[in-house]
Amino acid sequence: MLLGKDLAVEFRSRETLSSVLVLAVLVVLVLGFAAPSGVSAEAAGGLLWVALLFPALQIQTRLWASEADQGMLDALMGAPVGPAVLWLSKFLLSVVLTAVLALVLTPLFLVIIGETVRGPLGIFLAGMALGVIGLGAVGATLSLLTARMRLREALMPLMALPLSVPLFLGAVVITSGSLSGTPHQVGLWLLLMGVFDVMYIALPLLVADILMEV
Amino acid sequence: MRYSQTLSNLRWILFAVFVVALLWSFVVSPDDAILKSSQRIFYIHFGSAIACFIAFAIGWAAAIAYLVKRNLGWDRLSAAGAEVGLVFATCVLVSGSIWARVAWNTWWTWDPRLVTTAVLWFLYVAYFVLRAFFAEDRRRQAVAGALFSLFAFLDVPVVFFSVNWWTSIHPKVITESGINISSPAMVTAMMLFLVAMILLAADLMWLRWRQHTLADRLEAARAELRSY
Amino acid sequence: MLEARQLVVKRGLREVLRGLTLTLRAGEVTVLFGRNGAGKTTLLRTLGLLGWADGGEILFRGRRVTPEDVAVRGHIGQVLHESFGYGALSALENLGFFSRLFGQAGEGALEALRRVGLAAFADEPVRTYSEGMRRRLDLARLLIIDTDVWLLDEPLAGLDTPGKDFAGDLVAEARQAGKAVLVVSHEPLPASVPVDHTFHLERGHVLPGRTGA
Repeated sequence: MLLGKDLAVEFRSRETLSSVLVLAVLVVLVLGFAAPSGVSAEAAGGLLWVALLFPALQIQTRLWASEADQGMLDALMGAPVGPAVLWLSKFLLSVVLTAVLALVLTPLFLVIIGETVRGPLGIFLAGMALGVIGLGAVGATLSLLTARMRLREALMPLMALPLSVPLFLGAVVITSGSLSGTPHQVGLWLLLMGVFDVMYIALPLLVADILMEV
Repeated sequence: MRYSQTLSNLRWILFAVFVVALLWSFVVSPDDAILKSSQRIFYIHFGSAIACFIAFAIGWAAAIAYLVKRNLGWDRLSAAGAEVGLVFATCVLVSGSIWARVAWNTWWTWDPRLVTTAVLWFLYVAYFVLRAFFAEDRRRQAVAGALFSLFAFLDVPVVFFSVNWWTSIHPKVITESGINISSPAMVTAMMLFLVAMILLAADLMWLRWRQHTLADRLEAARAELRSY
Repeated sequence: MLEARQLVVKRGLREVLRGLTLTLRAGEVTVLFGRNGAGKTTLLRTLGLLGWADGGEILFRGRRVTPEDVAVRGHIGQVLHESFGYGALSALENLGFFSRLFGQAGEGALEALRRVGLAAFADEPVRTYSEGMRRRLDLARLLIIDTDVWLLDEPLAGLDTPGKDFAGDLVAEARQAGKAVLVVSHEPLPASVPVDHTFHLERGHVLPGRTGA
């Protein structure tokens, strides 16, 4: 049943996705202009995540916002479905959307910046995956907090970015390491990102009912 | 109220501690071998950092208490803790920056503790913006604030470790290895400032808590009037 | 069936409901009037387990319930102040979704739409609907999820005259079917609707009432 809702929600979100994708492509182009002769592999890793971050934040902000705008928050709450399930469905949606974003953006970025993945591909993918999951979790939670607010687009980045610093650091380290072919301390960073992800999934699930109150 | 006599006595003590601390740090404690006189700012820096952390920790605990007990008094304490914490965090960042400039000729270092404080600073600014947006609905304000505080403070150790590891990869870090706290006079100065800062933080938190309580009472009275 | 006892609810720092007691019984229609801001919506939300009470209790079939009792919500159907629905989806899809959300099979949507007079628009995205059409959709939703309790917040608002009559018919049917119905309204209900109890919400208390706001 969770899936049914998820699918229904995604169907709608074609609106969200299209505008975000356009923004993402624009960002990559701008980055291309900013660094026409390419950048070091190290810097490329960081830049990729910067390029991903802002469109991703857009996605996150909208997660619960569309529900709130359409008066659905009460509706969903009034249904015999637990709040944890509701959060989970949004989290999954977020991960899917962000993953699509990443899948589109990353190759485009690599092409325009002129880099390739020199290190082990598996690690690169793992880093991306953990990053996307983490962003999804943080987004699903914070979006819920700001759902009913007027200026949520302004507040979301302000809250999400500091919280996601560990995730960001890890993602950048692993990504730039993979791009330059010299991954440092990969195990450690993957672990950190994993812990972050677990924390940001477990915690909202625990306090899901309180989250819905807001 | 009843408190005021005890409080003003305590404040005299606080004042005295500060005076002693200042005297000690400027007069009694010696110049640091390497950094000379500028090192003294460390006392403020360190004291603020500890006070900041304690304030945020209290704010966090109060947030949890609120979520469990739903008594607005806890929310007021949480807000007060966050405010005081933010003030002291600013002190940490400013004193850290000044010190970096004087000691190493740079305005910013990637010292893990400093970076963590900066992240913390942003998080709690976000906290207050969040609360501001909920100004009409006190309960939502409290719940949202408490939830965010919960996540924010739990994030801190993760941030700290991540920055720590990160700086080991990018060794532009200049740690404060310059401070050898060798002389006992220095240690005393440090301790004095520590006590002074903590007391100051406690006093400020108490004041802010009282202010929040009164503000809430005022608002409740206003709401009553409006409903007729 | 659904009861509020000594209910105290605060909005922010102000007590909106002060020790309110109200009982909704099966097969009865209760109508509640009240000024704007008197707390009708708050009461409805609390009864519908959408918000926590600061004091007192809500009982469903004699058992104490709170918003944590997720399963109980399946027994309560609501029409809220604002219509809701996913704009990009069609009415049919919306109803199907809601039905599944409430743990039911998802059938009967077309039939429900026919009854409320929206069959012609069943496949149109809801965002193209007018206010009146959305209100009808709300009613269709009640039909499809088939709960024991109906909580209706100004269900007549936005409906044209035939719509209001139809809403009245629905309420009468529900009553026949043994549901407990609470209607909050500004305006008097159409005469066709049998009303068992009338109350007035004032200053946080429920007073037995005169009909008419």
